Amino acid sequence: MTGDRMPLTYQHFVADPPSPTGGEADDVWTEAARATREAADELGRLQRLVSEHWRSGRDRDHVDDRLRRLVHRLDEAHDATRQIATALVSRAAELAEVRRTIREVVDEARSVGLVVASDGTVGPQPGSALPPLPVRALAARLTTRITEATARAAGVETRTAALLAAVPPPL
Amino acid sequence: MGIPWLDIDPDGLRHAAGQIVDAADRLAATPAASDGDALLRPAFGGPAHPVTRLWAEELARVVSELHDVAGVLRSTADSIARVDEEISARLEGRHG
Repeated sequence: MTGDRMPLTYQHFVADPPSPTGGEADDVWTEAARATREAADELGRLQRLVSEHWRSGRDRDHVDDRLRRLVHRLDEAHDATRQIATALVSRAAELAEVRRTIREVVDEARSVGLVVASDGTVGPQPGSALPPLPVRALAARLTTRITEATARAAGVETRTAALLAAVPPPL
Repeated sequence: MGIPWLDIDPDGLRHAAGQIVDAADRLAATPAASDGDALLRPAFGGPAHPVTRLWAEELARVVSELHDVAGVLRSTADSIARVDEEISARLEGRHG
């Protein structure tokens, strides 16, 4: 997602899937967006409560101003974390679709005795006889599907990077 | 209001301070604010985008400041409560 990251390849999508126990970034930021909304609402209520219990006196206005600014910061944090979550949830869903496509292709290739090389090229087993023309044609189509799927993943990464770059940093 | 002439309620302030700490603790418990490793686990791998780290750090700062404000409220409440006790003691001495 950053400019220096390695592009996602065929290998990424046939590796073990992400842990099902949670904790991936998309889940983390969805939870952060929910928590910051709750915290902003709760702190707004507490700011009013503090004002009721502390109507005048030294430092009262200073504390009230600090609470008001904290509510504002939490509002901004909510907006930002929601944008981050939206981008990462969308990324995870689209890349999961790419993974499904690639795994379908791998299964289909194996079902007719073909293998998928580490670069995503589908072909006959190394050292085996040249397969019949229809099988070679199928191998070419499956290779194209893998190429298109990884290209789609690259597009997802570019779009996600643009969405995250548009998230304003904290002031 | 416990001490009307001071326009301040120490018990109410302490209660509000406790609720602010509760809100800070709930926020701190979210992985984005507490688990730096989580930022490095985007699904399908790859490093976190810099903006995610900036906001994680901001959440941690907000949590810290909430605790600080709660401390000020408690300190103020304690000071006022002491004043209340002193004034009450003087009044009792004058009228007792």
